[in-house]
Amino acid sequence: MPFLSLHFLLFAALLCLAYWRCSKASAQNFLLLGGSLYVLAVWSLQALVVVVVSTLAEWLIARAIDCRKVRNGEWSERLRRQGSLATTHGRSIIPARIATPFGKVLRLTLGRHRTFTPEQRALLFLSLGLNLGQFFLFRHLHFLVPELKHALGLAPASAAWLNFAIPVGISFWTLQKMTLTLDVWLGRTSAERSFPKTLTFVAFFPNLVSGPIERGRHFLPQLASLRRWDSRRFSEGIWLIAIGIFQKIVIADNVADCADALLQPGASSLSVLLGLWAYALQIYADFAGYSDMARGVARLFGIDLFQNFDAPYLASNLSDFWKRWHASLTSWLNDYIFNPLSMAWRDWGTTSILLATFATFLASGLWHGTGWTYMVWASVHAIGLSILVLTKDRRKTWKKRWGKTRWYDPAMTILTFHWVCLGYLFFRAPSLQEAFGHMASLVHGDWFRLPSFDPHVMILCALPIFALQYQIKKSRSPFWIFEKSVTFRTVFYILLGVAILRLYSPAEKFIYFQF
Amino acid sequence: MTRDDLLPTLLTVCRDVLDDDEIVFDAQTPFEAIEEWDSLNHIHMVVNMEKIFDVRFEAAELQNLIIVQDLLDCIARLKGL
Repeated sequence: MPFLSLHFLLFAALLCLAYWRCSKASAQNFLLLGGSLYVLAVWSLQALVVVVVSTLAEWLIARAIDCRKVRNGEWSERLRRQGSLATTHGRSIIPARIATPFGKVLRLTLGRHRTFTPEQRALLFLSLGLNLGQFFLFRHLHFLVPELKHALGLAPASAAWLNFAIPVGISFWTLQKMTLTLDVWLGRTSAERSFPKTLTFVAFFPNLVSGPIERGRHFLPQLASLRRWDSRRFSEGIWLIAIGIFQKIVIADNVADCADALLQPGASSLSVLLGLWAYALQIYADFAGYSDMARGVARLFGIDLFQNFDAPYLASNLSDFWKRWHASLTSWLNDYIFNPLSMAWRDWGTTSILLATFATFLASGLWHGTGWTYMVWASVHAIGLSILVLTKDRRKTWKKRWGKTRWYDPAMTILTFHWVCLGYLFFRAPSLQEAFGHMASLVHGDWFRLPSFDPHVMILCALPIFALQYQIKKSRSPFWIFEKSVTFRTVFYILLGVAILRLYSPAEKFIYFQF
Repeated sequence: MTRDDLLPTLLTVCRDVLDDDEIVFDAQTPFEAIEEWDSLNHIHMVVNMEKIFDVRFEAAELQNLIIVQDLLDCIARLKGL
């Protein structure tokens, strides 16, 4: 059930009316869970079953690890006597025989103040196995099997059994669900006692399909008490929905035609360059538009979701870009992959950061999808970040020499934007062959040959996108509009409404729905 | 080194690693407010803090830090101050 449909509008309006008439938190939670399961069922019954069953498994595992953690106080002495557990005081509780990098990461991540039993470790591995297994089964098997058959020289037999439907939003809610166990394991939170609340967290309809990827420790406490009506928060929700629709319908759907026309096989240098700019606008407006709508819908119910985008194309370097682009995924990868790895390997100096960066982006590439184009896209970003790390001292000198000049910051922003565009070359292309073809055109193509497209559309799309990003960066809030005068707001709302109504068309799919 | 020396020393490490002499924070500053302290710089900060304060952090000790005071408490505990 897409946001931009009459069905969703009616559903959300009715649910909202009932929700704000509730006088108990449990009734509000019941409506959120019921609404979320209804939306899931409308998408597909198979997705509903997969979400409910896998969340139940995750909840049981998180509870079991937590119960055992509580009981460790009683268990530790007995286990220590049996020699199966080295307890606290700075000694590792992971046996030396699994001193692999992963084992080292786990050992360092466990910390010195906690004890873990072999059963707890087994439960953690069970959780990781189930989540990653489910992810690879639905997202990667249909790609890997034909590739393996090809590599092994086997006959390409019918792969009809691989054509099962992928549950909607599986990449997003799998990561979200994993935090339930990982955060208990890392001691960041205790396991949620209520299964319905846990299911609401995983299946919450505004962010189910394309994020933002929430954390249990941020989301679940919001369900603990009655949410009271707050007109300001409700207005903020409406604002986010309106600006999200504007970005999707007015910008993304219009500039998509330019990107498609410009990025044809055999395009000239200028055509590829303009096409990449158009695609940069399209993917940002599409994904940020969806994220804003998701946050806005959640806010209508008094629930706060992660801010996923914060003026990413005004980032001063690639590291800054990743703090501002798809921040909920970046922070997940940081917390559960990059930081543990770089901490575990920190004695290796700069090498540790480079290895952790590549491992993190390898995971990010796999998360985004099957196909070598995603792996090359991830490598482009890993290489860019590695250059940042390796030139840290040199950049210090540059900054001292030129940092005060007027052009230094804009030059860095433009450089960062174009590095991101280089990544889009692979992210968008259906095959590596086409991506490398475009890359070759960029270097030695026929410069000025352009296909038929409307340059005014690109300019008219670029201006509001960069103006919005500038406003968000300047006021450090997506709710900058509420700081403006009544006159400004009124004019802005009218223009927004006219643009949406004039350019509304039955919405195409969002780019990130495929993930 | 006394407990009072921790904050100024941390500030010096931070300015050096993050390459910004204008960074100012106190014990109550949240880490989110120190913009340059991103994930790439985090590990540089950890390595430099370990060298300067002569301590060894465990990953778990650094994962739940919210304000600067949390880090100062952690360093003080490791140094036995």
